[in-house]
Amino acid sequence: MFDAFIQGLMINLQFKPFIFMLIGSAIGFWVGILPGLGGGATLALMMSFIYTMTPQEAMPFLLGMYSVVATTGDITSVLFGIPGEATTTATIVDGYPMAKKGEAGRALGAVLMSSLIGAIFGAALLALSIPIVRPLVLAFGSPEMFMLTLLGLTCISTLSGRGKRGLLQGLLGGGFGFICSMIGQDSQAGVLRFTFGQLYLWGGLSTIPVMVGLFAIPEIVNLAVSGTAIAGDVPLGKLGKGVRQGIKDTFQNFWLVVRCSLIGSFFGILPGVGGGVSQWVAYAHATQSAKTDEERAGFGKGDVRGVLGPGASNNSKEGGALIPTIAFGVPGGPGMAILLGAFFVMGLVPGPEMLTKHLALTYSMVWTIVIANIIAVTVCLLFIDRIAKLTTIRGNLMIPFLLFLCFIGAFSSNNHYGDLIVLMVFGVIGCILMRYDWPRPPFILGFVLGRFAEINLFAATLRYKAHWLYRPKVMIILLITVAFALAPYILKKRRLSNEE
Amino acid sequence: MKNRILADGKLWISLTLMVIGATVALMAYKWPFRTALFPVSIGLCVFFMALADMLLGLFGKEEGLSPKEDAAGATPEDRDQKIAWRRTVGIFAWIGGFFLMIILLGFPVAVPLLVFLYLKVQNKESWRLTLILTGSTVVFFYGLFVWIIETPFPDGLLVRWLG
Repeated sequence: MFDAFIQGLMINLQFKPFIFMLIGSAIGFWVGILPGLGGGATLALMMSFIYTMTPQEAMPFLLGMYSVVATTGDITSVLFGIPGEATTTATIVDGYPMAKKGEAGRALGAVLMSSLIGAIFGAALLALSIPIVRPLVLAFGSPEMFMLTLLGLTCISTLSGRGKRGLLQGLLGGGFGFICSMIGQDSQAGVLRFTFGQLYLWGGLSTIPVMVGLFAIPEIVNLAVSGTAIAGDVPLGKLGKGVRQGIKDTFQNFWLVVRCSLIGSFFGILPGVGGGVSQWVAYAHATQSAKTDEERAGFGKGDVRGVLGPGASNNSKEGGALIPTIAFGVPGGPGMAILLGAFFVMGLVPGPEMLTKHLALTYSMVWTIVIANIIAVTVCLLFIDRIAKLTTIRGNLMIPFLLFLCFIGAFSSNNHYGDLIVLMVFGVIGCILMRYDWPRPPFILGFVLGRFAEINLFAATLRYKAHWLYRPKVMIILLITVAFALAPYILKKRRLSNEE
Repeated sequence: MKNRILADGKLWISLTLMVIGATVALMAYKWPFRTALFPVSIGLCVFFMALADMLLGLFGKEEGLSPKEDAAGATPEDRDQKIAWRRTVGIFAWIGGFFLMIILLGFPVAVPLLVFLYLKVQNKESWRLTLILTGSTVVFFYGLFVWIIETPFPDGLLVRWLG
């Protein structure tokens, strides 16, 4: 296993993978800084470039991009009080007041250094967890793998759906994703399903036009609707000269940073929870580190610990989220669901293979998170003044370029105009789902894992008939699934009864 | 109730999914067992879940509508919503237009044309900025997609008709 760990590093240090990782990191760097363009949507957009790449080149490219988005997203949160990413909202609470006080440099130094420590912590946890989860994954058969798909779908539905009907709508989205994955020639008997006489549909819907349509087109529409400068008219906070002080603060509060990294990784591992929750839990934990009431009152007004906590947790979550994604095909969040799509595009199947045959590649992901973040943080610290100016780019200038990337990306998956129609259809569906607050990640999970789930369901039924339902491991996963589905309702009821 | 059905887009989504679920299950029913197992199971699940969601939407407590909307049927944000709707239609018109440009002229012509027209017509940018950004797009497009990745772009219909 140690050999694979070193091989993973060697993969990243080869010329082409390293260059692709740098390109990916540069894109992620930019995307993180610009509010209005999410890491998930960009991940979907960038998937169109991986066709000509090997998995050893594509993973550093995609993960290099995705893992630095939260790092640079903090910059916009501190300087403008606008989250660069949805996962960097908690950084605003103390980061922006610090910027207004003229301590933006200190806040940025602190948030960037804590982000780096968080990323390294998350990656280390991923590396250490592989020997532990490997025997577990290898003990799973087709019935358990099918149940894991349902578990993932339930988790992501429970936590990404909103309101009373959230779970139901999430599951419906996942079901619709399953249905879309059935289009084309059936892999069991070769029967054509839902092709409506169209030759184009024989091979099924391509992942990239569907993902780009569902995630990137609604973001472009949002940019067009908001129609303003990316950072709005909010004045830029003063940078000051405190970057070094911010780095010092990080090491003075080292154990707080480690504890918040642990929180981020833990929430990353929980499927579907993601950074949206972990950043606030980390922030709450940071406030608890205050020893007196006076100290506690300083939070929200520019306490550096309020910046360190969310910064560390945001970046450590990616390493944690990769654990269930790689080992079980259960993504830790929307971004991981899209990354899972990239796995299938490259012919990689999550589960046992990723921990045996492709173990070196799995470890290269660990190294990508570490190296990409070291580079991103170093560049940020060196050129922070110039980077801050990037946020003044107007959103509507980017629209034609994003549109062109969407169309080229969709087209290059099959070099067929049909892909452009699929892109537009799913763009409309994405906008409708966004407009009515229906969660999109469950759809992607259902779509990406549809064939995988079908093969496992068929194999389980063929081998065990209906008896596979009574297998102990299946029943345990079923119980966990039910627990995940009911947990939000039980917690809400308990909270309401406590309030009464 | 009638107004509620018409106003709640979520109900329309549920209804659409009900129809899709039922269609999938019915179509798959005739196929051999190995082909039909997954579609029938999923189709039926989607049908019943969509039905449950619709019933919850119709007879459950109101969700998502603000009291102001309920009382007067209009909100102070209506004007903003109209602008948002107009801009949404506008961007979809650009998306549709770009698709037509690709079909008629092919990618190599449609891409710079889209960037130029969008910046000049929609954004009303200066000639200098428009030309710089269009030129950069041409360099990026040819550099990456034509020379490095070597993506085969077919000619547009108009180009083919004109020979």
